[in-house]
Amino acid sequence: MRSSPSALALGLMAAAGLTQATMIPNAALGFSLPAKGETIARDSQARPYGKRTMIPNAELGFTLPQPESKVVERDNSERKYEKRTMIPNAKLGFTLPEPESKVVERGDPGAKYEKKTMIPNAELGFTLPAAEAKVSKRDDGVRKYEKRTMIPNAQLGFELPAAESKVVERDNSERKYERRTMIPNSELGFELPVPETKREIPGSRYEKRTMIPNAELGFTLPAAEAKVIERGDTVRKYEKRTMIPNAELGFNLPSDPKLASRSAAWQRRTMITNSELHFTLPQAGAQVEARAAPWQPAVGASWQIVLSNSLELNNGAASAVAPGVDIYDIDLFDNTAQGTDGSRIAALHAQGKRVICYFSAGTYEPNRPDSSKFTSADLGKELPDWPGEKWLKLSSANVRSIMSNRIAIASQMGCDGVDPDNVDGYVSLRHSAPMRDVG
Amino acid sequence: MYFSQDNNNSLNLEESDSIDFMKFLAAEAASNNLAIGLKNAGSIVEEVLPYVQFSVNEECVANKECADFQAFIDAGKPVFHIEYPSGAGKPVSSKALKANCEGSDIKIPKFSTVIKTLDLDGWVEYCDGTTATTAVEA
Repeated sequence: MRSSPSALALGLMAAAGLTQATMIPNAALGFSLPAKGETIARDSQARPYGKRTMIPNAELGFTLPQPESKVVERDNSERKYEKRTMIPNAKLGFTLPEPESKVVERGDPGAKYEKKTMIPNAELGFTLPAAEAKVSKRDDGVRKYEKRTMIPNAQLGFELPAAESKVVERDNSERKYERRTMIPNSELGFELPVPETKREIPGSRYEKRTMIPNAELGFTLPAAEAKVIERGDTVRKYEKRTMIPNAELGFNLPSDPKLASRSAAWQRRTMITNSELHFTLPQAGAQVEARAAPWQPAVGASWQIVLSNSLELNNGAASAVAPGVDIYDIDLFDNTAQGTDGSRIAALHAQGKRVICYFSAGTYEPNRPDSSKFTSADLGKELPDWPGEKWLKLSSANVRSIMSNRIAIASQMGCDGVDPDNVDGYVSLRHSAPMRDVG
Repeated sequence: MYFSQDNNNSLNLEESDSIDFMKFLAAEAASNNLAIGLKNAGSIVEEVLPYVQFSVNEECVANKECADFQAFIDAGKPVFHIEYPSGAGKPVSSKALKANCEGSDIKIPKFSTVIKTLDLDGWVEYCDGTTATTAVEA
């Protein structure tokens, strides 16, 4: 025979007792192939088989016997190499011949794998190890895989077990993996079971498993133990999460600021690093705790409001802010270095105060850090006695986006509440002089 | 509350705009676990009250509209009430203090009343006559 000897050809040659060629380990296949172009001498007199036509298979990179070729009845009395040591291949899920396998003499009392299930392949004329066949310590009395449906594979030229094949007459009480998802493997050219696929339990509560793209595997996997918690929350606002492409993971993640703000509203789920997926997943069984209700100040609570300046809190922790009331209503931006420093609010908290953060939600003020975000279409007339301050169009998506951001800043700065001013533009004519005195 | 009979903001803002805007702000606050108050806007209290945790009111006594905000108290939500009487910045007369703290159109014993200057500086007087000046930065 002169050709690029394939693994299958090698198997045939070995079975025929042929001279061995130089063997090159093939990493992709997991076993050796004869060196390309190697001439394999054979004793045609001893050859018990007909000349099978070998067809180069571009996709697999080696030749396969022509499917239609007939195999001459072989003379088993001359067989010497039919019991190549088979090595379970964890990646493939079935066994392959040992790359440098020794020839086991027939009748060798040390042979350990004589009970591998071999599946006759009518097209090829020889058997293949049954996919997923377990090698050691098999109890033939409870063999479970002998009736797998074999499907001819046009690409490979031989049969493979049906991807979703059911094993007939098996003991279902012991089944665990009968519905393994089969994933096409472009490198091997056929399907493989998904590693570690969990069995589906009838009546499962997890029908909405989150699928996570796995960059390494190139396909999605169910989120480990992810539970979909039904939540009746009507104010969820996921449409506004900024999604940032993450090159490492290969998909988008919510932006950190939004995560930070949401973490204020929702208890963090414990995240467990998943070594197989290389990123974290919610802890199995972790419950999303009920959203903490916003702070509800009490009727009659005492308070102070100061909007003219930022509070002076530089006298140290020993200096208590005066007066000693429950709540301070202060300007959001003025007291946080324009929304960047929450230490003043933290100092008030340290003195047991609650903090309401004031901002103007219904008017434009020219001197705020985000003032440039407003457009002329957002602005109405100027407020009397407040130079530069103008009414805002309350239905403007841009105005709402800016105010949403101010609320997020208030959260990030540690405010307990917000005091959005000037929301009553329908009244509109606002001036600074007191209207009248009483008393 | 400063008020006018005419709507001259050029945006044709109506009460429904304010109600919708407050619902939006309240939802944003809730998603950030923040309390939120309704500032003034006495005519939309009924519609907005379920969505907010408190009222901030200016001059309901002077304007005789404290009744608009009593619904907050009835709902267990405080009314943070500011009056700006003339002479504020130093203790007002006992008569003025009593008038601003008791109420005008209705009695307001449960309102959280402060006497302030119009620029809302650090000075404050409470209904028990105590005053304080919160230190502020220049």
